[in-house]
Amino acid sequence: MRADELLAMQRAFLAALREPLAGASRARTDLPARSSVTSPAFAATAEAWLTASEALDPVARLELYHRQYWYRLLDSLADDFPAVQRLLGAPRFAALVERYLADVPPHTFSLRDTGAGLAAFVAARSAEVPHAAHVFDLARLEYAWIVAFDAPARPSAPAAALATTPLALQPHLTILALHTAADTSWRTQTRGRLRPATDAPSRFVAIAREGLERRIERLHPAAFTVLHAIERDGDLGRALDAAAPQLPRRRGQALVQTWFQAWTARGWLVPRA
Amino acid sequence: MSANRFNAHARLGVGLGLRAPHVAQVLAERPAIDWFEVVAENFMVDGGRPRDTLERVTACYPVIPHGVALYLGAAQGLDRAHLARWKALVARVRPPWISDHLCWGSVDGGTSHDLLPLPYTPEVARLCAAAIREIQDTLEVPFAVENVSSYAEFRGSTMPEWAFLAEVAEKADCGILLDVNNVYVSSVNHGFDPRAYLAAIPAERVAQLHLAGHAAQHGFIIDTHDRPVAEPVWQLYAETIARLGPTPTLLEWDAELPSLAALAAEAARAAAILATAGGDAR
Repeated sequence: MRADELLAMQRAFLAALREPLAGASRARTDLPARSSVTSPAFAATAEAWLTASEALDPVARLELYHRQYWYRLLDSLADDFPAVQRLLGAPRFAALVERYLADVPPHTFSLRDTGAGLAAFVAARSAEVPHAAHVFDLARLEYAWIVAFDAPARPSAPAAALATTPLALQPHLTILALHTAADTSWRTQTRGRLRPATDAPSRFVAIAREGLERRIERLHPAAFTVLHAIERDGDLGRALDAAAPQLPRRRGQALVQTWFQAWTARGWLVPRA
Repeated sequence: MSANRFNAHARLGVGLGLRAPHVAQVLAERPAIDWFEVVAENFMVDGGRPRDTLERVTACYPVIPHGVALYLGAAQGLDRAHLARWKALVARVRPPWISDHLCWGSVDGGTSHDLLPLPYTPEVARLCAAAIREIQDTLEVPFAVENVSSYAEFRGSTMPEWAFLAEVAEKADCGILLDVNNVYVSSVNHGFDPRAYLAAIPAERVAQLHLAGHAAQHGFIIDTHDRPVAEPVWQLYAETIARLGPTPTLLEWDAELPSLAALAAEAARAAAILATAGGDAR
């Protein structure tokens, strides 16, 4: 088999795996029912490249890999986004991730990255997703939880150098502005169906690792503004200027000092690479 | 005797796959497991608990990284960024050898997260061997290539799987991770004699063996790694050990994970077979 033929086979094979599940393979999942047959292109790929065995024809053999592809990805995303699944219910969650995977198929070596774009996908299709604002917030929270698990911990910026060093946030730290009470429902409703949250005034959270444990905590709006500005351009002076209107007049300076003591102690601020 | 240059002459005995639900117990109790195999990609991260776990387990046990994403038969060649991740992992673990599968799984930047079968031809064997040579040159550690279980065969194949595996290993001058369960699974799925397969494998290149459980369906077998090793596979394993001598062996179990004690009991059966074939392999 020539190299160009091998490449053509691999392209056709992967394209077939990415086709939506059909028939009995689909019926074994939470995906909504649809046509019971695979596409003509799927069958053509199987017939063009594969032989039959005593038990299975070429299409049935390709279907075994097709099932493995989808079951692995559906299981992986359900593991990574349990709260989104509990909010939507298994069938609607499966339908959502099927559309997501058709749009954003896996492209890194790690299954852990598969859901990296789920929140953005939901945001772009909010009219089609039930409880879209809540799903969007939960998807961001749950992916931040994954990031906090295994992202690097870089040496923190020395407190004395904060004012003169271009800064960034610790890679395992994610800060989020939420538009629903998603953090509350995520923390408190740990079993069963998640109740949809109504839209709420913005709330701000940080998800990070301390030692080996992951934590989520609320941020003062001005603290979020400071961290967000540092994340954006790394300049501490501009970050503090941006937050100034949100600070209380009398206790503002003391608050900022408290935050920076905590952030430097926890290594949240690192020199910008 | 399969203590050879492809496994750095290590006599490791029977190991287990390190799985997350068992990590705390392994670190707290230090059970008498000969060695652990880790899925390499699970530890190609830059921080957090996976990295900590790897460091702590490596301090107590021999650890062999086993890859699932080098995709030796990818038509577009090796992913050099992934090879760089491997380089960093090997530097951290310093294993006596590493391994990955004789398969493909990605094209045009997209990935299947599966170990997909290859057409068995001399041209494809050359492609895989070139990839393995680059891996060995880059990582400077012996590499063992593993036969996968498969459910499909290609019209374009011109040689049997065992000849393909042997040719890849010879051309790459690498070791073989012979998965006895995969040989059995594929023999049922494709209708060949598993003993003919095992007899054709160059004994001097076998660095390691794999054992695992599988699930029988209607007329074919799925390699599920979710149950005990089947009796026909134990029989093939005993025959393989009789031919090769004591060879480092890994018991794979990935789903429906039992207790560590249950896994150790299954591993003890493999250790008993190793012992009958040439004394204590440890």
